[in-house]
Amino acid sequence: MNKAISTTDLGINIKSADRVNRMNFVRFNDEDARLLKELGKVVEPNADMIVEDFYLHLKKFPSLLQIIERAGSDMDRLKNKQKEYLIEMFCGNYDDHYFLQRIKIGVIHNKIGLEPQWYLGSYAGYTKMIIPLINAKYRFNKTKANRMIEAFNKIIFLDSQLALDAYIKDLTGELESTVDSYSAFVDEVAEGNLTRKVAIPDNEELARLGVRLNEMTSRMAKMAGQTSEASDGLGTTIAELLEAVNNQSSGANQQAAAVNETTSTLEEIRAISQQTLEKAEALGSVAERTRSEGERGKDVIEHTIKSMETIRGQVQGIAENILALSEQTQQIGEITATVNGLAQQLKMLSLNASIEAAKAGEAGKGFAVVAAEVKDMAEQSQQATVQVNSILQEIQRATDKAVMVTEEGTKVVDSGMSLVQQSGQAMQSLTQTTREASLSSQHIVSAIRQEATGIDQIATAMSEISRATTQFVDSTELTKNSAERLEDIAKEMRDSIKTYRI
Amino acid sequence: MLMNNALSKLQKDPLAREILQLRAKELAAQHTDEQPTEHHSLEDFIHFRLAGKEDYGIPYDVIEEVLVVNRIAKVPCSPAHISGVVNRRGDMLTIINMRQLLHVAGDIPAGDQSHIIVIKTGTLLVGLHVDELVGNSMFSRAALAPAPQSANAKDSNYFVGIHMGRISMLNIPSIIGDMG
Repeated sequence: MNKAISTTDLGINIKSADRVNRMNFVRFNDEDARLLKELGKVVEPNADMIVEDFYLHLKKFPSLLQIIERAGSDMDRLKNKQKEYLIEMFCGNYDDHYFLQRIKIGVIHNKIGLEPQWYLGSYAGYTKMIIPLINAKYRFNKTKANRMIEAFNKIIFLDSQLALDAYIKDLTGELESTVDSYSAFVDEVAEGNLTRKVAIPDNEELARLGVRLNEMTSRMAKMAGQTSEASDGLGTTIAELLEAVNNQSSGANQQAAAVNETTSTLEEIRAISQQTLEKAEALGSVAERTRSEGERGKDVIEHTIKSMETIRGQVQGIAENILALSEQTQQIGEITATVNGLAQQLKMLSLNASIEAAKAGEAGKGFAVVAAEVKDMAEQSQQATVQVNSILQEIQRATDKAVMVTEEGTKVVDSGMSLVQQSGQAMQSLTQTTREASLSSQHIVSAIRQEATGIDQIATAMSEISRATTQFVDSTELTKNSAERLEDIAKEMRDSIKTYRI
Repeated sequence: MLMNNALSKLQKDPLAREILQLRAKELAAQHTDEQPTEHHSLEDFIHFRLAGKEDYGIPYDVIEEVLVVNRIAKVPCSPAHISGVVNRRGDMLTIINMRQLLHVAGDIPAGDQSHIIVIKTGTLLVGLHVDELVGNSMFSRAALAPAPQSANAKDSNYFVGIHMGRISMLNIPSIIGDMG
């Protein structure tokens, strides 16, 4: 079991210079080594006896025995080891190898928990047994005996120094390794590995510290676990919050968009309504104008009808007058006919008178002149009646024509009147219709005004909603930013917790 | 050219040419007779018209009177030139249709006033029915133009002559005498 142990494992490295230095300090020289080798020839035959005595003495200390039992060793093996050790002591070659072997022995003793007291104490047993051997061998050479005892002491001191060194080194090595392991553990913990537990060393004090460290680490692990869970939960909650906020934000944005759209649509509706209002007002004014024009037209037509009736009456009067005139001309014609007949008769009479005068011969000459005069007058009156007749005929023709014309005029007036009456009726119905249209357009205008007011109210409400939505969007954005910041914080927290391995 | 036109208008008919030559001679002879007629006395005559265009004259010496009658009563089985009879102040007067007598085409238009010239030759008293009594005037027998040769006239003795180149003066005794 000891073969594998090297000086580095032990943490002890005695350099050759150090070895020489130590040997010089105790004034160990080559003579000492030669003397010890010489002494070895004396000791070696007595080695079993010395070891036996040593173990007899050892059995008187049960606590020491317990240590040996615990180490799992037996007496025979120990005795062999002891014997080897003793013989080596007098090998005469105290080089680096010797030193290393001695340190190993100290280390092994320390490992099995054999405290230095026992180890160092055992040298007393060696001196007790060997010094008498020296004295016996060199009883006649006291100087050599003394010199030999001196060399023996020197090697005992060197050996015990080395054992003690091993003890101290081992003890400090244990402390150091524990501190190292604790330090490494603390480093690991510091780096976040909370899964490990520190190995508890044998040393009671150090073990207590280790237990505390483990407790602390486990508590930290628990806390870190809780924090991780909490931060996970926080992360989930923040994610949910973010999602909700995002949903809210997108909803708010949609709402804002919808509100904007509605507002623009409302604007369009308002513009259209305004146009409609203008058109309806224009229509109303047109309808009103049409109505008044229609009323005027109606008046004009009534006036026209009255005028036509007057014209009709006048034309009828003219016709009657002309008829009367025609009758009178006819009477004149009759009279002139009578006059003409009378003139003809007068002419005949004058002819007969002239004939009678001719019959009377010379006596009737004067009468013949009178008859001729009468005849001329008759002829003149006949010509006058002819002229009158021709004039009368012209008058007759003119009156006939006038009668015809007036009849035609009456007919034209009649048809004109019926036309005017028809147009009057048409105008009346048109006026009625335009009146209704005017009324309707007024209704439309008032309805559109109400509608426009309603639209304005809606627009105001929409702008309120828009403002509220914008605020909502802004606050949602703020919330989102906060949530995102929160998420970042949570992420940071998670990341920092992730450094701990639980 | 004018000569040609005028010659082309000349009558080609030999009878017409003969009548025209006779008329030319008569017209040529009138100048010698005109001088003594200026001393002849003027005579009255009744001027009447037939068919609206033909003018005739009857001297006063055969005329009894002129009448305007309302109605001429037709006499059955009488010759065509007898218009009928009228009541003349209680006496019946035979009326002769002058258009028929003088072979003037057409009928005298019927009216409520028929013009009658009452004539008396010898003992015979008749009424001549004419289209129209134009009036009376004066003529000179010496100044009368000779009656033209006419194909229509039975006898040129029916006409005394032509007054003012337009009015044919009738020889009533000759006409009535022929009627017999």
